[in-house]
Amino acid sequence: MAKTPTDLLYGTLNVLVLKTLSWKPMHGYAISNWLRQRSGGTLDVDDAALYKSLHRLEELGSIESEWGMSENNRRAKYYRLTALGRRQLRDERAAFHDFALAVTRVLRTV
Amino acid sequence: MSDGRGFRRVFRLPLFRRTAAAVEEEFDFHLDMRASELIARGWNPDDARAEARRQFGNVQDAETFCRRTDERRERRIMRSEYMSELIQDVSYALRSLRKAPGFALVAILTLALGIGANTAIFSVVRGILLRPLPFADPGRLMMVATTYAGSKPEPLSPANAYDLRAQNASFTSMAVISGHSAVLTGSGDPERIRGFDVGGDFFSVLGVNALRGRSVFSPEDTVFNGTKSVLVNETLWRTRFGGDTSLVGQMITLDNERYKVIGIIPAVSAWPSNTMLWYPFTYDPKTLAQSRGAVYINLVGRLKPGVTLAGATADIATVTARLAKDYPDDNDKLGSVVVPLQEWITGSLRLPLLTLLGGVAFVLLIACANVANLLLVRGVAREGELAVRTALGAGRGRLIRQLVTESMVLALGGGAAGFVLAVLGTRFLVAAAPASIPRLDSIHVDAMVLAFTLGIATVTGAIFGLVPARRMVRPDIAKTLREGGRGGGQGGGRHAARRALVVAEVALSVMLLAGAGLLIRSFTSLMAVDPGFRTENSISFALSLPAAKYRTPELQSAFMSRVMERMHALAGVQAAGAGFGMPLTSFGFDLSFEIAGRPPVKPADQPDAEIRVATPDYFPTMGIRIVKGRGFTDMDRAGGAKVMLLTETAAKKFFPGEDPIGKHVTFGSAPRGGAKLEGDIVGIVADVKQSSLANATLPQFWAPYDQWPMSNMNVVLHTTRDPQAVVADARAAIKQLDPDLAVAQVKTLDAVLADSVAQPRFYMVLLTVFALVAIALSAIGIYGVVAYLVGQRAKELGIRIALGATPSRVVAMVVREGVSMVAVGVGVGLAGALALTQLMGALLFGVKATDPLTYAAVTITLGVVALVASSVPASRAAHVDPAIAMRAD
Repeated sequence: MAKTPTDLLYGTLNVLVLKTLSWKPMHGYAISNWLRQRSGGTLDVDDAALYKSLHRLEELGSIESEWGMSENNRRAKYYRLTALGRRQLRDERAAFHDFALAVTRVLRTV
Repeated sequence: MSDGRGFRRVFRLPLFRRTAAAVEEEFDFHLDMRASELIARGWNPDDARAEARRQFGNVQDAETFCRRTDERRERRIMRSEYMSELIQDVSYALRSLRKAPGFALVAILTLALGIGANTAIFSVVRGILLRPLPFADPGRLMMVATTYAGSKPEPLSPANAYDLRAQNASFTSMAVISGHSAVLTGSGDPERIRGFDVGGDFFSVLGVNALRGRSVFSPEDTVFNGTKSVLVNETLWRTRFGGDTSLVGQMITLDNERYKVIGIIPAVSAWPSNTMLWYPFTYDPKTLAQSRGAVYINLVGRLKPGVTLAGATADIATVTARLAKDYPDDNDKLGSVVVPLQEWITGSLRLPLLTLLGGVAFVLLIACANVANLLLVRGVAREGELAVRTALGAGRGRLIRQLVTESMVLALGGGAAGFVLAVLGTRFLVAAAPASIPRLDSIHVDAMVLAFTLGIATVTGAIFGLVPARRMVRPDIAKTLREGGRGGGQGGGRHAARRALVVAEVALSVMLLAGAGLLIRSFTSLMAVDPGFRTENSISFALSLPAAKYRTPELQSAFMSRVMERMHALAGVQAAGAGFGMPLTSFGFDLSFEIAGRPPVKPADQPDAEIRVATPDYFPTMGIRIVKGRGFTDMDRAGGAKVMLLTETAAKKFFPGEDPIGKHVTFGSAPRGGAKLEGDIVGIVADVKQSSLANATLPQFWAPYDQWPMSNMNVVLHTTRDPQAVVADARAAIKQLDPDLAVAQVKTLDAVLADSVAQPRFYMVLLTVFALVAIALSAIGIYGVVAYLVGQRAKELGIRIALGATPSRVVAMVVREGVSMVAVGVGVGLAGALALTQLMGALLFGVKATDPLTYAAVTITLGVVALVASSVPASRAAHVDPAIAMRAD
């Protein structure tokens, strides 16, 4: 499978999923599309990894799921952020900023 | 999880299928959406599907991962929901039980009694009957015994034992055993120690290793007149020798002779029980061949691999038949039996213990029936509450779980109390059990039994706790509510169940009570048996004169007369005598004899009788009557004319229709070397019970001590003051005469008599306790049901009273209800008792299993219990205020 140069760092996908769901409850397919569009195609998310992340986050209690009807009237599993997930997103976003800043700083010095 | 209904619907699938289906649906949705997006962009459908899958990545791997993750999550949710509901249910159960403390207390106590008593008794049965003996491969150990003309198994003579041991083909090894008590002197007071002479390889036959030293005697130890060696029980080693590690190899003094300790035997493997010393069995090879008449040797052996009990029995029978043919004089009509050792030791306890076990199992059944009854009554009372809760939307499954939880709380409460009772009960039983019951030390509270009885109680609780829930399966909630929570009223089914439970309880109680009643009657008639001697204000002790010091009969006799002189002189002694062998102990000494003037017969056909020896004062001291002729006097001296007495039974048996006085009898062999035992009969004395009150009186001959001195004598003192205090003086007096003698087996004659009936008394008391518990439980059961019925009919009774029924008529009506139930139970119980008590035959004495008096007493007892138990609710019914009763609904 072809990987983009920006292969996702471990744990990053989870933050992205939380961020995506912070807009509104979505099913997996919508999340996949949303991530592709927002990253401008840079982040070619592996759907298998996305679903693993969703189910893992649900087990951890960051998100919860519910079956509902999709735009084209099919049963689809919708995920939504829990209070815990919202808190996690806030913490991890800050942590990621610090991390990205640090990396950028190191890269600049070269 | 907001969609509760969907959640519950899916819940019915197994977890694995449920999560797999959900993940598959989710992924399918994704792949379909992606494919149709591509088709919209102009892909052909097949390529679009393939591209969607490619973009997705490893579908298989993701599916597995997601399914496992979901399973884990859901399992955790289920668990925590279950736990929180359980906590809710338990606290709810505790709350509702606290609101009905009487019900809870009775239910828990009932269960505790059932569980505790059963566990205690079964622990005893298991320890004694079922637990394997503490030997290597104990199932292969057998006792070999002989019979004469089809008699009960008897010990063997030395020569027969040696021949059987040498000529059989079934046993890898066999060891002889024969009693040998001795007085231990040296450190501390002289002490009479119970011991056995055993074959050199006795402990290797049993498969027991020594704690220290060795457990097997060497060839030098087992030679006649060889080195004197001895094995010591761990208990004696610890108590008497302080666990001195250097004891092995040292010399100890027994009966004034020096013995070398060669090993310490672990206390758990001590056999026969309470044996403290084991000596090597030796026999003079020169006289062995002539020793076929006197029987006093037991033979234990280990079966060879592959040999069965039947095979060994046949083999031993062949050897015995050969011995009978080769030595017809002594061995005529000789037979043999092979008995597994465990059965040999505990066989006589099987019937009484199993009877007790049966009795206590009845108690458990009654307890279960009672709890079932209580739960039924309570369930009906709560139907209203349950109907209301169902109407308010409580799930049926949840309600059932709540009811079961309540039953479980009760069962566990009962189980906990039962456990305490079982521990205390087992301890009590071991302490109270007669010392003659073997293997008491192998009794422990049995965890398996406890679990089993707790299981029965729990299942009972669960089943009957569920009855009100089962009713809710039928959608008649509306009806129940309309009836004001009174339930189906007189609806037949549950009434029948309740009645059946009471009938069963009463029937079981009747059977138990009948069994107990028969044992009580047996014991009463046992105590009515005349032992043949006086027990009040009398005390006895054993005195044994070691042959090493008192070498000749004259020395023994001279010492004994000094002892008796001192005894007569003690303050408070009214009479003193000495006899050989105490009555009512298992002591037996049996010899065959000839009567002068009758045609000679071969030895095996000679009559035989018990031999006892006594000083002249023994008969007045013991209160044994002289029936005819005279007793012994001081004139019957060693050098004088030889005389003998015989008992009434002996006179009847051996001299039917003639006067035995003046006849001359000669016994086959002398008790201890020397001249043959013989004499002219000078008198007839009353019979004395030898082995037990229950056994038939055996014919007996008495010889005067002075003419036939024995080394082991029982001194008896009849006193005018506290016998125990007199014995202390006697002990001091004997110590002055010979400080190395042990005053052993000190016992009042009352205690001798009591100990001889200790086992039947023990069984009687236990079974009676069980029967009383059963009656108490049944009374509670009857009371509960009648009270419930009265409650059900409060309205009807109110109307009757309002219409002028007198209180006495109402009482009679209600009591009739209870008594009719009990009558059926008594009928069933009497029939069952008649059948079951047949099995107790061997436990009964002087009463038949069909004893009408017992059955009448049982019926009357249950009748009274039924009257009392139903008249309490009845009188309450009679005082119902009609206005209140009719308004109650």
